Amino acid sequence: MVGTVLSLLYDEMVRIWCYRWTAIITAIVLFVAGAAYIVRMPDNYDAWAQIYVPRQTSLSAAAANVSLGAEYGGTYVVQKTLLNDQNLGKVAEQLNPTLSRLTPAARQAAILSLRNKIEVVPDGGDGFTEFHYTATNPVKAYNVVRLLLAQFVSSTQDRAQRDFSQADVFLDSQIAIYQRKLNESQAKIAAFHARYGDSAALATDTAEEADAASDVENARAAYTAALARDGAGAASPAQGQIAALEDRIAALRLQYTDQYPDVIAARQQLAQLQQRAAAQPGRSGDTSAVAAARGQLAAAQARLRRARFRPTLPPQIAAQEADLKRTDDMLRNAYQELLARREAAQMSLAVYGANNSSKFQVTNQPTIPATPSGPNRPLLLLLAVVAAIAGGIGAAYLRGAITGVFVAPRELEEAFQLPVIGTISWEQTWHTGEVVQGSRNIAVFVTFGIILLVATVLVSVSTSPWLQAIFQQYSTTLFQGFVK
Amino acid sequence: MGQMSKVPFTGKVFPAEISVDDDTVLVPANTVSNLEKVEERGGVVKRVGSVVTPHFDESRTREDFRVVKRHILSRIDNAPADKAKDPRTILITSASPREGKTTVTLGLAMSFIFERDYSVILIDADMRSPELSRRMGLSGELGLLDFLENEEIGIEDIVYPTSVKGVYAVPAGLPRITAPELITSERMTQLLKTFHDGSQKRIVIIDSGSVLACSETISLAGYAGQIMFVAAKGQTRRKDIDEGLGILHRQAGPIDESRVAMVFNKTDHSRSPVRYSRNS
Repeated sequence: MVGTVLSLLYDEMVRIWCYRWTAIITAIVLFVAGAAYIVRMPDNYDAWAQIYVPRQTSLSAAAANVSLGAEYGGTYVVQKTLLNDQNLGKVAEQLNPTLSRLTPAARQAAILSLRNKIEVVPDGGDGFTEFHYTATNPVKAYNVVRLLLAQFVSSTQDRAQRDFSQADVFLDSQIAIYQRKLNESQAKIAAFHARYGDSAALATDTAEEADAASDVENARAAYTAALARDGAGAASPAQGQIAALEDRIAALRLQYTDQYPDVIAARQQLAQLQQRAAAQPGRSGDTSAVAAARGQLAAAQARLRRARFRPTLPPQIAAQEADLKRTDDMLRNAYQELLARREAAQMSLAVYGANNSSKFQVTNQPTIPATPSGPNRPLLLLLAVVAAIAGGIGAAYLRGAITGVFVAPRELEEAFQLPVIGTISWEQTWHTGEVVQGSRNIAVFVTFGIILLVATVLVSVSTSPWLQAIFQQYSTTLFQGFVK
Repeated sequence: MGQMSKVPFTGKVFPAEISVDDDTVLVPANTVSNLEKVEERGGVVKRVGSVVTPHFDESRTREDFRVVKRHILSRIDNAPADKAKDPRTILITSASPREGKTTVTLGLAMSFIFERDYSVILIDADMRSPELSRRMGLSGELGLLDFLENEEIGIEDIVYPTSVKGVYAVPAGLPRITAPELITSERMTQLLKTFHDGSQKRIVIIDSGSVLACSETISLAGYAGQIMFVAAKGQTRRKDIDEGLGILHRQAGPIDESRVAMVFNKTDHSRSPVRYSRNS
C-alpha cells in the first residue's frame, strides 16, 4: 500500500520533472513580477500615541469598598468607547471636510476604512494603551492619531462627568421618594396609635420596664434592711418570701389568666405565708421606717405592673400593627442604604472625577513619523521566492496534467488497453556525452537558485532602511580607512 | 496482375527461393543464390552499413531489447497460419517524431545477433528524415524509393550487408514527392513477399516516420503483421497517441492486442519492470 502510494508520488515528481523548464521560467517570471511589485510598494508610516490609565490609584484603592468602581482604563473599554461611529465620524470629518456633504453610505465606508486601519493595542497590560495608524503619508497618519487622541480625552472627560452627575441625580430622586414614603409610613403609625390608644404602644418600652424592675429591687432591699434594723429578724424571711411571691404572681399574670395552675398555686402559697406572718408576733409593731419602706416597695411594684401591662388586641389589629411596623423598617433600611450610596457616588466623583488629573495621562504624544515602518521588504521578497518556486512547480504539474504525458508503462497500458511489451531504459553511462547534458541540467538549476538568492539579497539591501544604514556605516568606515 | 507482370525484377536476389509458380515475379537464372551473397555480388563493391546502438548501459539495454524480441518472436510463432498480414513484417512507428523509433529499430536488430535461425532486414521507410540510413552510413545510397520507382533497379541493389552478421539494411533512397504512392504500389508488396519467401526465416523491420507526420506510415501499416508503437516517457502526449492509433485503426486495419503493442521508451533504469541482473 505504502509502496503504491510512493510509486504514484514518484510518478508525479517525474511528471513535474518532465516540465522543469516550464517550472523555471514560471518561477523566474513570478519572482520578477513579485519583486517589482514589492520594490514599488509605497512606504508605510506608523504614527502612534500612548495613554496611561492607572487601574488602581491609591485613592481608588482607599475607596474600593465604597466607590462604584469604574473601569475607564482598560484597552477593551478604550477600544469600545473610542472607536464608535460618532467619534470616528468626527475624526473623518476633520480629516476630510467634504465628507459631510457625501451620502450616508460613502460616509459609512469612510468610517469603516478608518476603523479597520486603527489599531488599539494593550502595552504590557499595566494600564498602558497604544493606538496606531499606518498610512503612506506620514502627515496623515500623524493627523489621524492626533485627532483620535483629542477625541479620546474630551469624550472620556465628558463621559465621566455625565455618568457621575447622572448617578447623583438618580440617587437624589430616589432618596426623595423614599423619604416621602417613610413619612407616610410614620403618619400611618401615628394614626394607628391615635385610634387604638396610647396603651397600644408599638415599641416595647423596655427601658421603663427595666427601670421599674430595678426600682422594685431597690425598694425590696431597703425594706429588708429596715426590717433587719427593726430587730424583727425572724419575721423578715417571711416578709421577703411574701414580697417575692407577690412579684412572681404579678409576672405570671402578665402572661396567664387567673385560672392558670401556676397562678392558683402561687396565690395559695401567698395566702399561707400571709396567715403565717399574721400569726407571728411583732408584726404590728412595725416602725415607721419599715412602714415607709413597705410603702415604697408597694409603689414600685405597682409601677412595674403598669410597665409590664400588655393589652390583648384582636388578631386583625395585631396583624395590621405588625405590617405597618415591617413596612416602616423596610423603608428605613432602603433609605439608609440610598444615603450610603450617595456618599459612595460622591467619593467616586472625588476619585475618578473629571477634574481629577490622575484619571489618565498621555504618555506619548503623536509625532510625524520620520522613518517608514514598513513594508518588511526582505521578508516579502523571501516569501516571493518561496511563492515563485511553488508557482513554478504548480505550473509544471498543471502542464503535465493537461498535456497528459506518460511516466509509467502502467499508465500507458491503462490508457489504451494495448500491451506494453517492453520498456527501453536510457540510463546513460558515464563515458558518454549524454552525461554532460544531465550535469548541465543540474548546473542550470543550481545557477537559477543562486541567481534568485542573490537577487533577493540585493533587492533587500537596496530597500531595507536598517540594512542600508548598516551598509552606509560600513562603507563610510571602509572609505575612511582608504583615505588614511 | 497483368500490370505486375510487366514490372519484373531486374536483379534477382533469391532465385532458388522465389516460387516459380508466381508469374508476377520473374526470376532470372544469373542471380545470387541468397541474401548472404549480397556482400560478394558480382564483383560490385558495396558499402556496408554499420549497426551502432546509442551509448547506453549496454547490458541493461540489451536485456530490455531481448524482452521485446521475445514478445515479437512469440507472436510470430503463435500467429495463425491463415493470417492476412505476415507477422514477420514489423512496423515500428510512433505518434510524433523524436520518440526513439530508429533507436528501437537498431536495438532490436542488435538483439538478433545471437538468433541463429533468423536474419533481419531493416527497411528505412521514414521518407521525411531517413535517420536509419544516416546512422548506418548509407545516406545517399540507392534505396527503397529508387527501387519502387525504377524498374531497372533490382532488390540486390538496395539490400546492404551490415557490420552485424545476419542483419541487412535497405536505405530510404532519394526523397521523392511521389513517395506515398510508391509505397502503396504492387512492387512494394512483391518486395516484402520476396523477403519472406523461402525456407530461411527472415524478419523485416520497417522503421517508419511518425503516424501524425507521414502518410506513408499508414500505407506501410497495411503490410505489417505487427506494429510496435513507441511512446517516450514524459514526452509523448496522450492525445497524440489517441489520434495516431485512431488513424491506423481507420485506414490500416483493426488495431487490437494481437497486432499492435507498445514500447515504452526513454525510461530510467530503476523503473524498468524487467528485473534481470546487470551482470547477466
